[in-house]
Amino acid sequence: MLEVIDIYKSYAGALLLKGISFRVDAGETICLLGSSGSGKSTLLRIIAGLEQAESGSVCWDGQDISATPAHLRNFGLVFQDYALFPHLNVTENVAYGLKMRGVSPDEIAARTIEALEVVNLHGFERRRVTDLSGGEQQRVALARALAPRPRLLMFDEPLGALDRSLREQLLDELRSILHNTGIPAIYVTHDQEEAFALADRILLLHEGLIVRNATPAEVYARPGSAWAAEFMGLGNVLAGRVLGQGRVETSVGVLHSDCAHRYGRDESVSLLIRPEAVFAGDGDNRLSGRVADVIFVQQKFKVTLENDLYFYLSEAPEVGQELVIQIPFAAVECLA
Amino acid sequence: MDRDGTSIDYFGGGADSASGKNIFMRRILTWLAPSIFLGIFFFYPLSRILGRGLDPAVLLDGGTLRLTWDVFLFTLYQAALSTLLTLVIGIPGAYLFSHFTFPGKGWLRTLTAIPFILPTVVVAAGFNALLGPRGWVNLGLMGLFKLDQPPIAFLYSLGAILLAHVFYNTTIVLRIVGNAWGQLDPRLEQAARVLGANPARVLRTVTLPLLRPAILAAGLLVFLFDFTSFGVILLLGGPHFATLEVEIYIQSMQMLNLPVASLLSIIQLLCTLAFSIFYSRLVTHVSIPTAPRAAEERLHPARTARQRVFLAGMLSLLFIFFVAPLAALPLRSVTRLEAARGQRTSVQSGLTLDYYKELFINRRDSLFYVPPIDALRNSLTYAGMTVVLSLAMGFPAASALAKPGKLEKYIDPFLMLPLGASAVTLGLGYILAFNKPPLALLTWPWLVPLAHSTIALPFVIRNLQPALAAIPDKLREAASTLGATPLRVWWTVDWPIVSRATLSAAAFAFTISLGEFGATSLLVRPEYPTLPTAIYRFLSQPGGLNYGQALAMASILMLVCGVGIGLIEAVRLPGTGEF
Repeated sequence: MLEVIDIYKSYAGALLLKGISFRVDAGETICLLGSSGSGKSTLLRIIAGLEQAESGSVCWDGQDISATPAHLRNFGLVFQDYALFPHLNVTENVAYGLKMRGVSPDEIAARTIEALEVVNLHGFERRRVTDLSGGEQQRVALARALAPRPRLLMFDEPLGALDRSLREQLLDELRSILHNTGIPAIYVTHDQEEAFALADRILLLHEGLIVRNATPAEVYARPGSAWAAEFMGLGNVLAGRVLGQGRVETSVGVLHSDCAHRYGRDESVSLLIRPEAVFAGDGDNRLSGRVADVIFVQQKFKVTLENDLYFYLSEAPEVGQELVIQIPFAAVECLA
Repeated sequence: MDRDGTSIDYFGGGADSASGKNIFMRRILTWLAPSIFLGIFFFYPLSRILGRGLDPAVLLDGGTLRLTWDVFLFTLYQAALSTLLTLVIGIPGAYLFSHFTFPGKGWLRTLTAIPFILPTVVVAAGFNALLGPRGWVNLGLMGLFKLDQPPIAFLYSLGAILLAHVFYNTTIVLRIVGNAWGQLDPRLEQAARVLGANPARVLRTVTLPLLRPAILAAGLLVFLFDFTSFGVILLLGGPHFATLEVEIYIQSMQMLNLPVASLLSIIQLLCTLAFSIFYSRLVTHVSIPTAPRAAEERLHPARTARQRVFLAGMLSLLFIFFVAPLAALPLRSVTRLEAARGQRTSVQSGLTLDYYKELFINRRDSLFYVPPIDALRNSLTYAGMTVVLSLAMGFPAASALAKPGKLEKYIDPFLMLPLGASAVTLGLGYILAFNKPPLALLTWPWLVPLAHSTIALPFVIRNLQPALAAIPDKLREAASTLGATPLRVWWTVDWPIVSRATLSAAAFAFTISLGEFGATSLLVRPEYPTLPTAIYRFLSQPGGLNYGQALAMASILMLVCGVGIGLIEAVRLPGTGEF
């Protein structure tokens, strides 16, 4: 069980990680979600032992391993651009970790084949890694990390360089591998779709702190902050000023929200309006606006009004058309 | 613009034109001058060497063969040893440059490159001034410990040769290996560490295998330079050490045994050709997995105590190693530390400009018929002539190569051949080729500059070609549609782009000519010495005054070359490669 306690780290003179703490239990896959440059990769490298934190510690099963060098931690790390050794072929790459640990040649051979089977690369043993496609290279990188049977697996945006369909396919395979092997895993990404698909728990990293640590369903239902809602693209995030009696003044108009009763007059509050909560026609929270943009998305049309409010309709309106929409009171959510 | 809309192209080649034969003729004409030049002044002398050396009487003589074999072995041996030592110093240095940032990094990098572009006589003189019997170290030790004889016998030893070679060529390793190392994706090493490799194993199993092509390329280039080294062996090795180049010189000038000299030249040429081909094939296959963004992560100031110690140690070593000989030279030339000629009683030590003043006097028992300062005048004159000649030949060649066609592909390797041939061989070839009518040119004043131009030509072409190739036709077309005559087009479009390259090429030719020693040593006439040959003669004569004058001349040469090099660097076009 991994425990990260109060990690501080600066980058280029400014504080990047401002006290990161979390746990990863056996069999758990946690996703570290944050925007580019937020320090996710740095945190991963600190856990792996490739960099030193300025303060704080990394513990495994209660023991402080902060001073243990990287090559003795027995963690696995899969990089974004694979970092396969170009001068070694597929088998030699996968066997590298086993060789370093002094495993016998027979067992190396057996475990290498086993690892390649797990990632569906049977038959690729002698290939040069530079001849492989992106997806194949990523699988070799995964096999290489798995072969030494690490006690923790870490992924640094591993699917970033791949196209969409390949990404989805590998995501499925990854999920089943992690489930079958039961190795605890930390998966770092800026793509919330990957995070939602893979994670038992999601950790949101924003401005050097973990601002949310919960299951995907919880994070989805209660993002916890305006930034989190925006980052994960949950819907329209509006800044508002409470007018009292559940009414909030926003850029699209005055909205009535059930949760606004909690706030005092003139307080600032962020509101979340999910696009699926907006309906055409007259009703609660009646608003009208002119259509600015219509995009076809899968089976619906994403309509954006001139006041930047967006939602989905099954039929496409005209651009410039005046629309009347309604938002149920309960659907106007208050964010912290 | 032609009426049928085809573009103007006054150097040949180019777009669809109705007069294809015209273009072809123009191409031939462009190549005419450089071809004739090289034909007479490079290939013809070379052929004479082949003729002389492949004489059965020479080839089958046991003594000759034995001599040849011994000399060849020694050349290989000293080159291999020098290369090894250069790598031993250069690889940690490459690690230093590719991993650490430190104040003065740019300066140190330039400093390590200076020896490479200095003439060999200057380097030899510098080491002499530092470690020779009259040099700083010896005189210092003698004064300190009250000794009679200089304790360090540096001169005329293998150690001197090796040291000077390392001094010369370390920059090659620093740049080639340093560049490769700096571009190596650091994530590969990180992956290895996470997989369980301790730092030593990372080095052995990941870093060095990936660096091997670069190390090999650098090592081979260094070997090539050490193999063809002449000035260093002659001046610092002395009478006991002879490489192929030196032996050619000895056989030509002292033994007057031209056939044997020719045989040695042929072997030298073959070896150089073989190594050059090997090197170029190796270089095209070097590919390092690069990650430019990630590689910036690699550079950082020294963090741990161990890194600081390494950094401080290496920096001091490099600094002393590169500064000491270069500083020793001018300092020694203005210091009198022993009795002057004829004044055995008093030793006035202290700073003096006497050695410089002596240069202007032609003493009765001087080695020359002229005051030594004339050597400077001659060198400058020859250098000027070299610039004119090599630009005159280089421009047409470079512009034809800028738009290569089928013809150019065949000619290009021949143009670059003078690079590989040794200067001493060239000198020998001139002696063989031009000693009788109709080409009795050995006393012709233009002969030495011609030899220099032949040597400088590849550099000039290599400097001009990228600039000429970079002028887009569209600019010329635009100018001529606006009414400019071909001459004006050239003046307003081509010249501004080409002028920098021309300046750089001229500076190259100038500097090469000033420092040229190999060919000049065979061709120079006693009444018209050049600076390098004068320095050599003065250094090989006993006496404090001769020594001082040699160092004074070497300091002047160092200064003038320094100016030339500075000019080259200041005008350097981005994108012109290292090697």
